Formats: sequence, structure tokens, C-alpha cells
Amino acid sequence: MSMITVQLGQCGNQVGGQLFSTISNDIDGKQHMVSSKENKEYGDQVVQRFFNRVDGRDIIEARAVMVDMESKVIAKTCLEAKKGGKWKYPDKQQYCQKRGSGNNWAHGYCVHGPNVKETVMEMVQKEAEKCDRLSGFLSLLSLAGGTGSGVGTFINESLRDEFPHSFIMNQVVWPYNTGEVIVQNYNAVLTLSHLYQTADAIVVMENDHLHKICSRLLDIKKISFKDINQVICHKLSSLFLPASSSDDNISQNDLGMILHHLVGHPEYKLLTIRNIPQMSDRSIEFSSFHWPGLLKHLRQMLVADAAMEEGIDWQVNAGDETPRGSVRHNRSLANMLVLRGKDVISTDTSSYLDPKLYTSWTDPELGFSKLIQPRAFNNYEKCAALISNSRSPIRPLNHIIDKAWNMFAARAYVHQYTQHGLNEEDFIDGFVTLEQVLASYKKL
Amino acid sequence: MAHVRETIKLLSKILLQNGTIEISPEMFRQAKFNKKEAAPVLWKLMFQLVYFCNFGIIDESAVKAETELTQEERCVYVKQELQKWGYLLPDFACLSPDGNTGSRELLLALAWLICKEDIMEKFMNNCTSPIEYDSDLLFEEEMKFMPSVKKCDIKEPSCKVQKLLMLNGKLQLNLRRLYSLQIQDINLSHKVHESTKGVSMTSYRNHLTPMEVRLLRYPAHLKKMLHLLEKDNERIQNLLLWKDQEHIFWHWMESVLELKLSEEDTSTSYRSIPVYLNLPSDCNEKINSTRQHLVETILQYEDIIDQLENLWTRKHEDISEQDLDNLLTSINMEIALQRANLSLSATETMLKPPKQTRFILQDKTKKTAARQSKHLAPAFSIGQGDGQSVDINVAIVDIERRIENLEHDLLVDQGICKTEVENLASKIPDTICIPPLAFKRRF
Repeated sequence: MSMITVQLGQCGNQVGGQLFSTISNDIDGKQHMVSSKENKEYGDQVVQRFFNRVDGRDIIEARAVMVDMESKVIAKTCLEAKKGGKWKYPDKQQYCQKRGSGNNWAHGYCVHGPNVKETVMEMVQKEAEKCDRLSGFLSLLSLAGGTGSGVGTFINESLRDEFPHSFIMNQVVWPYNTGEVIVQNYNAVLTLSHLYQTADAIVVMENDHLHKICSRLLDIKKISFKDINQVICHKLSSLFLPASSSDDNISQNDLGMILHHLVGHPEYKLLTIRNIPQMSDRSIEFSSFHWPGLLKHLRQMLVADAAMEEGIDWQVNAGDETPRGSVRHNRSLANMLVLRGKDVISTDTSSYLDPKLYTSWTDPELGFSKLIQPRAFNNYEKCAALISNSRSPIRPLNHIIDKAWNMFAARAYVHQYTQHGLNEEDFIDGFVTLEQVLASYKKL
Repeated sequence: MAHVRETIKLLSKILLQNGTIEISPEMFRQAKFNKKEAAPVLWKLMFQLVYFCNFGIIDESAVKAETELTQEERCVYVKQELQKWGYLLPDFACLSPDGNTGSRELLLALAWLICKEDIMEKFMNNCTSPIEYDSDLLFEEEMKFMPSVKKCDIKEPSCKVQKLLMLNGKLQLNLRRLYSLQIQDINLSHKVHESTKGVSMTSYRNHLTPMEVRLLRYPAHLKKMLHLLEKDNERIQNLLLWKDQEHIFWHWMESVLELKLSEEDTSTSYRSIPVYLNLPSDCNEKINSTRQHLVETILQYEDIIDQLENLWTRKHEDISEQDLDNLLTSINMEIALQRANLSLSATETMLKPPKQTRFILQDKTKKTAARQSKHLAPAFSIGQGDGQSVDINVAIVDIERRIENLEHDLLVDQGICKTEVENLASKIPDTICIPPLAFKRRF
């Protein structure tokens, strides 16, 4: 099975380049904890999933389509990939123009989108024909900018039209709360509300959280986008690299399986990824890992809705209620635990089957699943990732809607959008959709 | 007499091989003389055969249904189905539902069922060479895992709705996964076909099937396959033998019927014959009223008919032979046209047996077959002896038409739902109904 990555806009392209590098570096990782035969099989699986082997050539090509309105980032990403010498992007699968979208969602969605659609869809079709089995699309974009969000949304809708039965997962980068773009919340509201109609799932990555992980866990002094992207890719790879269900050992974690488990309910599509451990290369050498400890931390991260293992609130317990009867802890609809490394088969994960972790109308057997892979990831002897469909997105979603609504109430900057063909009703529709999402999640 | 016993033995063997319970020839003999002992076994057999006629297979669910239903329910089911198919004999319908009597009636009904529903033909159709299609048996190891179904214990209706929504969503996602797997299957099969071009084991294709390739790769599976083939062979042999000998059985059945007729008490009259068909309760009244209506109509038109007859005699004197001929041809043509239309619509049957169809892409420009291996005998050429190949273009056109129809139906349904939702929403105070974005785009 293979997955096609659609890289949209500056952020999407940078994350995409980093994702393929992380994956290809991991194939060559020395500390893999399995026999060399198993390691080779694993490597082949990874390549089949993310890359395309070109006959007669050593170098592998990423299964990716790149779209941006400016050529700079795409050129740079392609060049970096080529320099690395392990993989490259396929030729002529890049689309760029001379002029960007100026952080204006409407410009991207209403103007650039329809113009680029045909060419980009041809590229996607070409890429899809290279796959024996297309398990789906992973589209990478940011919510704040104009191209990634506006053109990205349009491309996603076109993807849904062209491939009505394929799985589409979006990874969106949530802007900083104190963001760099004044209209970022407008862009985010419009993007999310549209994506919610077309995508099967939306993986949320908050810049604020990622930033904290870089500074506190990875001990980076001067944090660049590259560092943040690395954290994103670490999370994504720990989900998408091959692993199989612990129930039958056959079902592989293809996109369909992941979505089937996590986003069965059509009203709940927002996913968050928590992973453990996360540390700088220097610290790995001096650390030892134990499954019970890792899993306990990860569970508390889920319960207390924390993005990283440092500074978790241990006071929150599953089942806690506020005096007024509302839930204090983070309740989920579904959780998927991916364990990689030593002794994965014998680990005890029964604490994740606690009914208190889940909403009242699902049962833990339905809500929880475990994937295992004895092959280590990223040189960690043991590591775990928890992908959840839980109440976590409520806070950031609320924040974005509030800010955007306040601006919209004063009709600030709205004319910039209306001049490209968007009208106020479209804004209202966006707000309504997201309010509905918010209400659903609050009921979890 | 010995022949009869052999033939009946063969019949019970065939039945057993096709999944029914075991029934000894002795039971048939006892049933002929209406002995009590044979009745329970025959009821069971009847139930299984009726199930087979309805669903084409006697599988686990048949066994499950058999154990879960009471004797009475089973009897009623069998009687109802038989009446539906036209077996209206009162003696059979009057059999007591405790399942202990009437073995001769059952035997007659069984023979009728075997004859009427062409059960032997159906058995034969079920025998397909396992090598033709991917057999599950070779993938037993992979198929061991079967998830268990748990009952839902949620009480609150809103929670139930949420859970059902989720299960429905999961089902849809799974369907899409199946779809992608099917595409993969086709892609990979195509690769196998491409790379084995020129080598073939059957006369109507010039490549190997994935199954054959798998067998070549894992010769150990050949043993299993051989076993399957042998079993299939035996079944077919028995069925062939049956074809030769069945007249003996039917002769014997005649003697059963004669015995019944000779023993029959002529004085018995049926006060009420149980009817198991789902007839509407007001059926009698309807028939009566319709009859009344018909009589009235006839009376009403009688005068007109008289008038017409008079008119006809008068006109008849005017009309020439030529005119009459012309009229006749035009009427005949209209009849032929109507008949053609009728037969066209009748051929569109949805209830085709679930056989795998092989799709081929017919290349109209190229007449010669693809290159073949020179090691193959001339008989091994493509396009012969295979009735199941369908030109893919024809199939595509057909499917597209069906999709169009379905889409139209969907749109209509959506419109109905939309108005219904709007009506409902208008009844709730202080609410407005905002349809989702995706829905909006459709209209």
C-alpha cells in the first residue's frame, strides 16, 4: 500500500521535505533492535509506502506532489533532498507560480485554486497510477497563510471530487496564539470549516506546543522552523511508519485502518498525536527506558491534556469532575497506541482500557487499539505514540473562533476577502460549521 | 428392487455431499409406508432444502436457524415456502406441526421440490473447479482471526444514536477500504496476467491466474488442491450417475403415489385448509367486490357491444378485402413491437447467480490473438468455450447507467429529506436550520 503526500504552501512543502528525510534516515538507522533480515523487510515496506522505486536507478523518489504559489521554497526543498543523496522528488511533479497569495485565503481559494486545479490534479493522477494500492492522501498545510490554507483547501476539495473513495488525511499546523499574521484566524476558520467537509481526518499540530517541546525537551536555544518541522515529522512518522495490529498481527496501519479506528463518527475528525520519549540525541545515550514508566506518562499526558511529558499535571485523574458536574479530564472517543522497539509484544496496556477515559457511548474495546512494531524508531530503544480523537482541540478551536469572530463583528479586513469573490455569508457558514464541531467535542 | 435401493442410496449421498443431514435409504422406505419414524428426519431435510432453494447454500446460518427455530416454526416455514412455489396439496398443508406424522406426504413433497426447483441442477452449478477461483481454503491461516460481536448495552437513546452513527461511519470507511483492496487485487492480477502471457492451462485464456501462480510457487498447496478437486470430482460423478438412474427413483415415487391413492380414505373432506401464504385479510371481500364490479361492467357494455356489432355488419358490407389486409398487417406489427418491448424488460433480472465474471477488453482493430507460446497445443487458444467473459466496455456502460439512476434517486431522496428537516425545524421555536456546507454545494 502506498500513500501520496500532497505538500501545499510554504509550510506544507517544508514539512513534507522534512518528513521524507526523517523516514529515509530512519531506514538507515543503526539501532534497529531486530535482525538484519527483518530490518530489510521493514525498510522495503517503508519504501513502498512513501517512495517509488525507479527501474534501473538506485535513488528512490518520494510519492509526492508539491504545490506553492512561489517557487523559492519548492526549489530549496527539492535541492536539499537531492543533496542528501538518499531520495529525491519526482520530476515535473511540482507546481509553482511567480506570485503568492499574500496571506489571503480568498485569493488562494477563489483565484489561484481554480487556475491550478487541472495541472495539479493531473500530477496527482500520475502519482496515483504509480501505486499498486493507493491507501490515500496525506496533505500537509498550515492554517495561517494564504497559499497552504486557501489553495490547499481548494486542492483538497478537488481531491475528494477526483478520488471520492480514497482516504484523505490532513495535517494542519495551527498558528501561534500570538501569531505573525493578522488575519490568521480568518484563514484558520475558513480552512478548517471547509476541510471538515472533505477530509476524513485532520491532524492538529499546534505551533505553541511544538515550540515548547523544542525548547524544553530538545533543549534547543534558538528555535527555527526546521526544528519545529522536525518535531512534526517525528510525530507523523511514528504514526505512519509500518506497524501491525496487536490483535491479529496482520492488519497493517494503512490510512484506512487508522481512520476506521479513530474517526468512525462523522462529527469527530480532529486528531492529536502525543509521543514519548522526545529528547535530544545527546540525552538518548544517557537514558534508559521502561515500558511501564513510558506508558504511565503517556496516559497522564492524555488525561491531563498535556503536549509533552514535562510538567504534566498529575493531580488530574480519569473520572474527575468539577463541582458543577462537568468533566475535568480529557475524554476521548478513540485512542490508538503505537509502540515501537524492544519487548513490544509483552507490554501491558490495560490501563488504556479504562472506561473513564472514553465518552459514555463508546466502549473501550471499540475505542482503543494497539499497534506494535518490534523495529525501533529514530534510535529510541522504546517509544510510544498515542493518537487520540479527544477533547484536546476544544481550547485552540475556541481561541481561534473567538478571535476571528471579534474581528468579524467589526468587519475588520473582510473587504480583502470579498474583493476576491468571497462573501460574508461564507464567513458565517464557516463559523457555524466550527461552532457545531466545537459543540460536538464539548459533548464528548 | 435392489436398483431402487441403490438409487435412493445415491440420492442420500448426493444430498449429504451438498450439505444436508444424513438420511438412510431405509427412511425413504419407511416414509413410503407412512411410518412415524421417518417424519422428523424428513422435516429436517425439507427445511434444509427449502433454505438451499432460497439462499443457494446450506451454511452455518442454516444450521443456526435450524437450532434456534422451534419445530412448529420450521414446519410453518417449509409449508409456507412450498405453497408460495405452488405446492397447494391440502394433505401436506394439513400435516400436524409437531413434526411426527405424515412421512409419506413429506416424501411426496420432497420429490416435488427436487423436481420443481431443479435441485440437482443447482447442486451441479455449485460444483465449480476450485482451481478456477481463489479458494479460501488455501488461506486458512490468514483467515483465522474473526472478531467477535458484542451486544450494545447502552440505554439512553441519544447515546444509542451516537453509537449507531459511529458504527455506520466505520462501516462506510471499511467499505472504502474494501474498494481499495479490490483495486489492488485487480492491479496485481493484471500484473500476473501480463507476466504469464503465453502460458495457460485452459483453452480460453492465454495466461495463468493468480491462483495457478500461487500453486506453482507453493507446491505444498497442490496437495490440498488435489484433495478439493477429488472431492468435487466425486460429487460430479455422483450427480452424473444420478442423471442415469433417476428414472428408477421416479418410478418408485409413482408407486408411493399409487399406494397413497389406494389407501386414501375417500370420505375425508377438508373443512378448512390452512393457508400459509401472506394473503391480505380482506382478500375474500376484494375478490367478491371485484367480481361484482366485473359483472356490472359487462352489463353496462353489453348494449354498446350490440351497437358495435350492428355497426360492424353495416361497415362490413362497405369495406374491401385490400383495406382489411392493410389493417391486419398494422395490427400485427404493433403486437410484435409490444411483445419485443415486454421481453426486453423481462430479461433484466437482478437475481443472477453470484458467479465471478471475467471481463475482457475486446480489441476491435486487432483480429489475431496475442502471441502464444509455441509449446502449446493448438487447442489452447483464447476466446473459446468460455461463456462468462464480458466485454468490459459493455459492462462499463451498464454500470454507468445504473450509477446515473442511483444518483438521480439519491438527489430525489435528499430533496425529500431536506424538506422534511426544514419542516421539523420550523416546528421548534427559536431555531434556524443551516444545512452543512457539503450539502449546500449539491443543490
